[in-house]
Amino acid sequence: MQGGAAGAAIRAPYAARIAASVKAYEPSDREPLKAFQREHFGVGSRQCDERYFEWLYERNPHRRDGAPMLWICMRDGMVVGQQGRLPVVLHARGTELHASWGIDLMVHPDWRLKGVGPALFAEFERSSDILLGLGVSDAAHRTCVRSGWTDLGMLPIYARPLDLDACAAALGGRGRLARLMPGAIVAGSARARAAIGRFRGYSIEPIAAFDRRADDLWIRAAPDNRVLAKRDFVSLRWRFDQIPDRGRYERYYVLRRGEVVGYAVMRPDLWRGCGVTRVVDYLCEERSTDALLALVIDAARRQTAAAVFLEQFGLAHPRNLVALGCFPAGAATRFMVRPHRMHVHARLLTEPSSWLISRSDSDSDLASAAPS
Amino acid sequence: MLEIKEQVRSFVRANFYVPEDLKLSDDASLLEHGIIDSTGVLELVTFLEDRFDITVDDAEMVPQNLDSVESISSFIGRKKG
Repeated sequence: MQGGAAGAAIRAPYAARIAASVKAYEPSDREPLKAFQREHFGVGSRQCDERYFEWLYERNPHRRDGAPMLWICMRDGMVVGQQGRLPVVLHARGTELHASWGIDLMVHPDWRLKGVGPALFAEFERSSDILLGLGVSDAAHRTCVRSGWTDLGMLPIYARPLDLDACAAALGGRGRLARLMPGAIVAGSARARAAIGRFRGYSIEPIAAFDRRADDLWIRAAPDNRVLAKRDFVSLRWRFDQIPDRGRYERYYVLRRGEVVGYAVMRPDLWRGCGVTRVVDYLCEERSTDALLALVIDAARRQTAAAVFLEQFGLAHPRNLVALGCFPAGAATRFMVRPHRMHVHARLLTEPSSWLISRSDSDSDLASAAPS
Repeated sequence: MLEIKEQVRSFVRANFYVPEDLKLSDDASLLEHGIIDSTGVLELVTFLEDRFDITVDDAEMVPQNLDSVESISSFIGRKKG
């Protein structure tokens, strides 16, 4: 784009020259892109891992043939910026909508504040009628707002201490823990609720991988939500079973009298030196939410996790969580959306209460380092 | 030069968020005050190229040329001179 038309490019307005430097990634760009990624994400990053690259950009089941997944900005034969997208199918009031998460934006430091980021982002914005952003930084937030995105707020984090001594030590004393924990935690015993769940016939079982039973669950559970990303078997298999570091995740089905009524995906993590469990995703019919959450918390307790953390946005689940002794523990992940202004579901999609979003949506829960 | 400064100042005030209590003096940093970001820089350069009939080169896209009303005006003066 710069080569043969160099004379004309010099006379072109700056913005047009930068826009002309942006192109959809092609396999022949792999080597210069790898050099850029090694320098700016780090040699050990997931962006530099071929398995991750293939999984994220080539094997996504919601990718549509021919549609770009990654854009790069080339200047003087070098990659100076990149912008990726993660296609997703949304279920919105019984309709399937194609959308894209914006991911992996990076600009060479020498090219920041020179329009490369906006030019890459403009290509992403043209890629889909519904654009989504999770973990939007403060710097990107302002740009998005000016570009017509709607800020739907931050994903609240809920914490459920399981080992009070360990949590108190991590926080610097029991007084601090007591101030954070509401009285409800005393009344809401996950273990007791799990017992009630089992009395009703609920149980939880670890699974090695998702299977076709997830499709039946999806058909039954999706209508209980107004807008959420598709979580059928194919989607879950790609996200949690085919991911290069699939060993990070523990998968569970929740059953009621032998039938799958929910799933949960958890990930062991460290928090202030304590072993904790993060619930990165779950789905169930609304009537089974209490039992699922109680069983999940109980499963974490049996693994001797000091606490359970859950980061999720949507619906009535906070009420269920508080009843189980969880308390709000801040928020760190911003969620933004931009449907095309004429989109038939624009109002639904820009209403925060419409959404069910968990940490595993988009790339927020992907490891920063490549799997060993 | 005074006219260039006023045109630049008017453009900035009309197109970017400038806090009411900020006087936007000639040497106030547009970046440090959060008035322009990466997208804003692009809009600013497009305005300068259109209004003053200049072409901004890659190497000229530096804060020394674009970070304040004063530096922008001087930059335009040099390009036009």
